[in-house]
Formats: sequence, C-alpha cells, structure tokens
Amino acid sequence: MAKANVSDCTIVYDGERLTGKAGTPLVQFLEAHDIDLPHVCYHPSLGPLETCDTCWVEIDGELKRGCTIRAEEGLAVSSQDDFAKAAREEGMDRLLGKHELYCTVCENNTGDCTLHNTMVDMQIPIQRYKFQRKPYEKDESSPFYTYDPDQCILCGRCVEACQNVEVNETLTIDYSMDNPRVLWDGGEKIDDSSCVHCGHCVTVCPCNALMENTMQPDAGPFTAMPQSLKRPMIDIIKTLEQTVSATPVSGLSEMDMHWRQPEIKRTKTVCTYCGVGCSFEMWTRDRHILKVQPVAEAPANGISTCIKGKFAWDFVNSEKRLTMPLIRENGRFREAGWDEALDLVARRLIETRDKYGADSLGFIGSSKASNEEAYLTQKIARLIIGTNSVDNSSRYCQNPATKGLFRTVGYGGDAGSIEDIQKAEVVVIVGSNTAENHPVIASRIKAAQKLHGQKVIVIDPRKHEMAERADIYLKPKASTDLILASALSRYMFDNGYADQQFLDKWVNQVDEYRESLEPFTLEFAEEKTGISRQELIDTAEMIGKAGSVSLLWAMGITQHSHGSDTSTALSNLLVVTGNYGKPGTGGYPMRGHNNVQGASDFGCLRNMYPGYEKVTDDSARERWAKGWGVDKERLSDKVGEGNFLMVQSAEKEKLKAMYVIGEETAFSDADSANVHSAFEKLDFMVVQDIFMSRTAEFADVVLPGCPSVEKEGTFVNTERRIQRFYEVMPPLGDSRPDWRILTDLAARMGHDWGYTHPSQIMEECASISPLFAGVTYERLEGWKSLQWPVKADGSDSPLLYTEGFHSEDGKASLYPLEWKEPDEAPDEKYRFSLDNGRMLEHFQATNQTGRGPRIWEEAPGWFVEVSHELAAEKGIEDGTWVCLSSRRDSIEVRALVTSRVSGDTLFLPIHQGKPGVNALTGEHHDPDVDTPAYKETAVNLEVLDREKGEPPLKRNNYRYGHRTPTQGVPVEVKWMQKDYVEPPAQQSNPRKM
Amino acid sequence: MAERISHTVTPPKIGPDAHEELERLLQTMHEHGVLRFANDVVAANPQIAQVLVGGLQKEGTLNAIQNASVLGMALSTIEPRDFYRVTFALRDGLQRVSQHSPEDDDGDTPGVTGAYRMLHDETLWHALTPLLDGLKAFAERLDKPVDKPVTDFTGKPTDGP
Repeated sequence: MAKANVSDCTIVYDGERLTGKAGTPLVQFLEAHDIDLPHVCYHPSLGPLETCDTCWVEIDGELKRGCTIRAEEGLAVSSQDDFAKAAREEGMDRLLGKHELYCTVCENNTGDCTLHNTMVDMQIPIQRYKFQRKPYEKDESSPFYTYDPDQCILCGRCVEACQNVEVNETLTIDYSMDNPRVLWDGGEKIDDSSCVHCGHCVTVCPCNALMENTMQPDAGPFTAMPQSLKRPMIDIIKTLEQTVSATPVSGLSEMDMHWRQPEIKRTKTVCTYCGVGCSFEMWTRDRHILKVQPVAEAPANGISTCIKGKFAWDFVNSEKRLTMPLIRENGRFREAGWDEALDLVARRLIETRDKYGADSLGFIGSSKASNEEAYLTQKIARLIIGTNSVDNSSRYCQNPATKGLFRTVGYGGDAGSIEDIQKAEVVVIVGSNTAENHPVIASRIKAAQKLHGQKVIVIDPRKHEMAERADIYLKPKASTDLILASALSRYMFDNGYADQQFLDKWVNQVDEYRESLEPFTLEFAEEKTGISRQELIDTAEMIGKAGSVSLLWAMGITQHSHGSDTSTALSNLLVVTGNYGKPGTGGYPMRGHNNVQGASDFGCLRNMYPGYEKVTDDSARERWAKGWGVDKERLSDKVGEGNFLMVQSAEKEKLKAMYVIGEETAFSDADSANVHSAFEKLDFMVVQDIFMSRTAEFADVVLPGCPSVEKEGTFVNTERRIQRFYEVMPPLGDSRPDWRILTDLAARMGHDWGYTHPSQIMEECASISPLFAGVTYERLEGWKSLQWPVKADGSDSPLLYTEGFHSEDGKASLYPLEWKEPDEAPDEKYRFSLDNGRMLEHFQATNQTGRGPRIWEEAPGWFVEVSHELAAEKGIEDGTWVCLSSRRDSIEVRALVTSRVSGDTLFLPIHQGKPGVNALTGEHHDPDVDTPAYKETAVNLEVLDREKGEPPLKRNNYRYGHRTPTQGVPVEVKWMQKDYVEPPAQQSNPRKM
Repeated sequence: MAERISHTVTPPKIGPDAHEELERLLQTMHEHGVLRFANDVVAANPQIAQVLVGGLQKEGTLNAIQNASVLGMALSTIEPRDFYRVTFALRDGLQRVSQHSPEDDDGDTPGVTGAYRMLHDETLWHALTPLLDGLKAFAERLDKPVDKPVTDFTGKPTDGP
C-alpha cells in the first residue's frame, strides 16, 4: 500500500473521504478526484476572484465560497444540502441575468465555454432573472478580438489576467457604475487603448464576451447565419423556453457542442517567435486557425502569450507561401519537381566539394526550425561534405553571451528557469527591451514586482516599458556597460558584499580578477558611463544586499564590438556576489528566436558538435564519428566559419556554395550591400524557406520548407527547455518538412539515413551526446518538457550549478577584463548613436508578421525615434522626413518624437524598410565570436526638404495609451453595493452587479 | 554570378474545396454506417414504399394523421398558458383516477333521496368515486392561476430567459 506523503491530507466531502495534497485549492482538489464543484470565475492561474457566487458549499454550518477554500486535514465540506445548492443556483441565475444564452448559435460553444458547461452541469431548469441588454455597443475595434458587454458576466477574470498576470494594466471593472462593464484605459475603445493584444483576457474569458475574431463567424455549423436570421431564432427559443423549460434547449446546445468536436482539432504546438518558448493548443478546422488557446499546464508560459503568439499566425495560410521548388533558369525562377530540384542540389554540392574542397561550402541552419533539423544540417555539413562551416543566427545575436558564460560558469544557456527569475529578490535587466522582445518573461517580472515586491534594476540607453517600471533606472552612455558591471563588482569586494564563502569554495582566479578591477573605480565609472556616483552606489547596494539576483541581458549587450567581454563582466558580477546555483539567481541571456538556443545546442556552430563538444576535441570527434558509423578522420577537426565569415569568404570568392535554411541573411547580416554582393559571387546557392525571402532571390535553387505547425519536432527555449510540437495541419501544397528535405537530400548524396520520424533523429543524437542522454519523445509527450543537461535516467536540470560548475574542477572562473573603446562611435561627421531593435508587433524581417494585414497594420510604417531635445533643435515633428547616413549608406525615413530616447541617441526598428537597418550597419564586429556590432552605428541626421508625412505610428497605437493600474478585481466594491445580498437570498437587480 | 531575381510565387490552394469536402463527407458517412443504411434503404425502395403506402392506406393511419392535424390546428389557436393549465389539470385528474384503488373506499353510500336507489348501488358508487376525484382535481387545477408554465412546472419563478 502506498504510504501517504507528509503533505497529504484527507478531507470529507459530502460524506466521502478524499486524500490529496494539503493546501490545494478545493476546486482543483476535487477535480483530481473527478468531482466537479460548479464554478465560473475561478481559474487555476488566477486564483479565487469570488465574483460568480456559483461555488457555495457548507462548512461548519456556514456557507463559504468553495473557491476560497484550500484542502487541509479534517476539512468537512457539504455541497448537497439545500442551502448550498440554492445559493449556487442563485449565483448562476444572477450570471444568466447578464448573459443571453444562445449557445447553439454561439461561436464559443466549442467545448470550453465554462459558463455553458457549468449551467448544463447544474441542470438549471430555467433562469430566475430575465436577461436584459446593457446600454453599450459591442466593441469590434480590435482586429484580433471583440468584447460584447451584453454577454459579459462581470466575473473579472479578464481584469485579473490583465492587471496581475500580463500586468499591462489596461482592463478594469467598476462595480459601482450604474451598468458595470469591463473598461479599457477607463473607457476607451479597445484599439484606442494601451491594450497590447496579448490575448490574456480572451484566453481566460469563461464565455463569449471576449472572443477571438478568428472564431467568428463559423466556429459552429449554425453560427455563421446572418443576424437577421439568428435573432428571430433566438427569440423563438426564448419564447418556447417559457413553456418547455431550459432543459431541452440546453440539451440541444450540448449536442451542438458535441457535434462540433469531430471537425475541431486541438494540437499542442510551440510558438515560433521569440525564445520564451510559449506552448499552447492551436484549435483548427481544416486549415483555418480558430484560435490559439494557452493552458495552465504549459511549462514556460502557462496562460500567457503576446500578440504574436496569440494572433500572428496568418502567415501559415498566406498565398505567398512557397509550395514548390524553384530553379534559376535564364534569369528567372522556374517551378520544378522535388526529384529534379534535390538531384540538382545534391549534384552541385558534391561537385563543389570535390572541385574546391569541403571548406568551400557553408551551411546556415535555421534558428526557427527544429532541433532535429539543426542536427541534420550539421550532420550533412560535417559527415557528408566534411566541413565545420555550419552556423545559425546566434552568430548575429547571442554568441557573445554564450562566450561570457563559457568563460565563467561553463554552460552556454540560462542558469535557471523563468521561475527563478520570478523568485529573485532583485532582477537586473541590461540591454534588453524585455517587455517587447520577451513579453511573457517581462510579465513574470512585472507581476513579481507588483505583487511580491521584487526589485527591478534596468540599465539601458532607451527608456522602454521595463525602464519606466524599474525601481532603479540607469541610462549609461553607449558601449560602457563593461565599466558599469566591473565597477559594481569592485564595489562588492570593497564593501563586503562579495560572497567570500562562495568564492572560496567554488571560484577560481579570484585574486587575478580582483586585481583586474583596479581601474574600475566609481569615479572612473561615473566619468565614462555618465551615471552618477550615487546612482552607482544605490545600484550596488541593492544588488549586494539582495538574497538572490537574476541578471538578464540581450542584444543591447551582445551586438557590440566587445559584447563577449561585457557579457563576461555581467557574469563575473553574479559570481562575485554568489548569485549562481541557488533558486532565484543566475545569468539569463534572453534568446531571441524560438530555437536559437536549440540550433546551437544541436550543433549548428562552427566549432561545436551537438551538446557543445568541441570539434577540436579528439575524443568528442571520435565519439561522433563512431555514432555516425565512420572513422574519425572523416570528420574535420578544423574550426569552420560562422555566418559572418562565410559571407566575407563568399565576397572573396573562397566560399563557392552556400545552403541557407530559414534565415534572412540578405536582410539581417550587417552591411547588407556587401552581403548582396557576396551572394552574387557564389557559384551555387540553395535557400530553403517558407517564403520567397530576400535571401532566396539570390538562390539557384529554392526549396519550400514548412513552418512548425505543419510538422513535428522539438524546440529549446531560452531556459534550456526542450519541448515537443506536433503537426497542426498538413504541409501546404507541395512544401515539405525540412527534416524530410534534408533526409532526402542526404540520401541523394549517398547517405540514406532512413529517418521516417523526427523522434528517430533525436534518438540518434541522444545516443551520442551526453548533454541529451535521457531525451526521448516519450519523455516530452504532451506538456512534458526537459531542461538540459538530461541524464540517461531522464532527470533534467531546471537550475544549473547546484552541485558545482561545468568545468574540469567543477569551479567557476572570474575572468579578468579590460575595457576597450567601441570600434565605431559618434564623431563630428556622424554625430548620433543609432540604437536599433525589435518592436512588440513584429518579428525580424517581417517574413511572418508581414503576411497579413492584421499584424502588419499595427505598425506598418518605418520610423526613427528622435528625442524631444533633438526635435527641438532641428525642428522635427512626428512625420518629418529625415535622412540617416552612416559610413556605409543612407536611408530616408519619417521621424517619431518620443521620450523613449534622449539626447543624441536615435532608435530604428529593425523590421521595416526595403533596405532595412543593415544598409547602415557596418562589418566591425566582436573579434572573439565575429558578431557584428549592430548597436555601434554612428549616423548623421538631416531633415529633408519634403512635406511632412503622417505620423509613422498611428495615434491609437498602444504606446500612446494610458494604463489604469489597479490591484485587480475589486469584488469588495461589488459586495458593498446596496443592491448586493449574499445568495441564496434573491437580488433585486443582478444585472448591475 | 547569380543576380538577384524578384519572383512572385504561384498562389497555393488553401483549405479543402467542395470536392474534397464531399469526399470527406462520404468517408464519414461510410465509417458511421450512414451510407450502408442509405444504400439499403434506396435498394429496397419499392418494397419499403409498398409497406409505407400500405400502412398509410389503413383507416387507422388516416385517422391518426387527420386527428394529429386537427390537434395541430387546435393547438395553434390556444394560448400556451391556457393550454398548459388545462393539460396539467387533465394530467392531475388522470393521476388521481389512476391512483384510485377499491380499498380506498369506505363502502358507505350517500343515501340522498331521489337517487336513493341508484346511490345505494355500491358498484356504481365505486365506479364514480375515482371520476369524481378526477373532476375535483381537474377543477382545482383549473382554479389555480398560472403565471408561467415553466415556473409552475419546475417550481422556480422566472422573469423570463
């Protein structure tokens, strides 16, 4: 007999003894025993809101709301006595007074309508209070969702999610209004408010008051009928209901819910935008995406998403999708069959290798494709071609961060989990616009700060949302972050905040490092960074006194000529203060693409096999050769070229052929004019993509791959979490999953690996790479995930360094550094520092977010952000045309005057524009990892003599909204209303509650 | 030398067309036995029709159809509230009648002059008692005001859905 855990308890529910985990909310405790206590407003991710009054139970002779009760030993609950039943039914009657039931013709009756299902389960024979309309129109202003006040039951789930989960603080509810409703920014239209369209409110809405527009109008077989037909039908049913009761009508709606199920497919998938790794269900009918439905069980994000994860999927069914291979012929592309295209690619790659040598070919794997596809890309490069010139887009963004971690703590990944960031006493965010680039992680931080008193320090030249919310905001001069971090480290040593015990036990090179800090005095830091001595001290004190610190950084640190050193300096600071290996601590480079971590983890790196084993390490080479069934001499021990160097080699005509998978190198590599010229010099180029990208325009053969929703595989998110995604719909047209294309291609080059499913690829990798030893598709099934390293027994590592560091002696190292001037800085001719980065609404080159009007229209225009000071000096207004010139090229763009930037700093989004930001950026780069210094771009700005254009950001963009922060759902205000009486007593006017 | 080429892709077909939708419908109907049943029905069409027509020709069937039509015509002219009252009054009456058992009778006769002899006919009295009870219940139910049938039926008041 299984022994009860110490944390278990036994409760008595309607006379039945039930055992489960103590402290579990009663609703969930009962659900675990297949007992359903009716409830509508309670949601496991939101906690008890106490607004719906449908979950009353009796405890010790008193009525209590069941959602507020937690299981404890000896708890005795009665739900079946008349008093509790009457109270619950009264609660439901009040809800139905505010919500018109027309479920069979309602789009939301797809099986997860909490209100419908609860009403049916409660077997309500007829509602007590007649439904009456509210004096408000339906809000259809958003392209993504609608709010129907007439259907709103005022439960407050959406408000709680917006205020305390997403923490965008747009939605409120005021129960003291004559006719309460949910308000956006206190009473604006949705699309005119600060709403960021993250979708939290829609996801948690228990009925159809908030609904995705993609659900409308034909989610059910009878829902698409015109309103002129629907309304009389509803009225007929309402009339009949007065005689025949609601029972047969709800029977019909229940049947309707059931007959919708066969045509609705719910598939777990993982988002293909940033590196947070949000997973969710995608609801589809054929190829139509009905909605994205996040679930509480999703390990990285729970119910959270951002605008892209929730709504930016129109690209999947874009008519611009590549669906058949293309072959360059006589100055144009000709559509071709797969056999012809793959034969051609195989022949030309082998010919090039045989003629010019293996290193005359370069492969760029995709940071958006799966781990298995990254694995196959490097396997083809290394095993078939014989080169280590294989890379991924982490070269453009995260390799400096990884280098910093390799130098100090050993693993090239986040030290802990998103949960650790939430737990930290202090979170330091450096060079990361987290709220726009990793919105779900930002939400976790905002919630920890708002609800649990977490302190947030933001260091950034741009005053973005996280900076506005910070407890300390520092705005250093560009490229001085290494000084700042090193000065803080020195302060820790000088003022007793260095964790000496930790340093003694776990850290090498302490003395050498401390000596290297000699120049980094507060005075030096103040002079170079422009941050006052007192601000530096305040920051150091906050970090030094904290029990746990998590430090996040991103492109604002890495895309500099010394990004690796600055990343190292940040990790050094964490080591000095003992902030590794404990819950709530660690370094977190924010990975920017959905699988940029995985593409590196699975070997698309010029110097590493999958699992970060060096190609120069003889024993690793031997093991990989053995795993692949060849002699180790067949594998090159020479470090290859990364993306950046491949392009340079192509320019010099040393690199003859390239194979680019799912990367927009022609747009995203620095100094794009040089990139284009290099591509034109290649003898042979293959591009595998889902769209005819700018890069594909240079190709000799274009192969149509599939987006993640049309195939199976795994991704690794920023917290090293490996998650499975499943096929939501079949490949469009004649496009093929990338792993299949690569398998077919390998076979045509004499290596018939015979993979028929990605799980076989993962199995092979896990059998060779110790880092993934215990990874199997079975262990990743459904919502399960694993955070590497994964031991053979399947145990994983949510928090690294708990038992030492990833080095030969198990110790971390403090890495001495010197500050070096940036390779490019403003001067007299190029006076302005051009910061650049992402916007919330878009992703990279907009190959996905630019494929449908809904997302595109949120931010269609390109612009440069200009400070108020500069605007005043040059007479610039919103919409003024300006010319930005760098040492490379110039662009013409409209200006946006904003306090997000100050002084001579400009900001240019990276998404829009024909030439794009990389017309301006240069080839100066971090010598340690060859990452271009995108953020070190000096420009001149001239106002053009041209009529002012429209303001580049629409006035209803969320950035102009005015948030309305509250503590959440003010249920006490509802209870204080004179009309309110506690059920089962009847209420005089439930519609106003 | 590979010069950059701008290329417009051939738009792919997105989603099933009518033929594919029809194919799927056929497959689903096949899997659920609907096609088999439909085949059977169609194949046996003359025989089934013969049976149906034969049945329809019977006087009882014709009466039933006509009576149902009359009922429908009558029902369409009655307010649901009134019909509910009468129907449920009838139901209550019938219930009372059906609940009657001879053991419930005390066996006494009324003994009123004028019908003295008849009323002393115990067999008749036994026969009338349940009918009278039924009439009583019918009258009681007719006297009971009904606001909304659903409220009367479920016992739960409502302002309306």
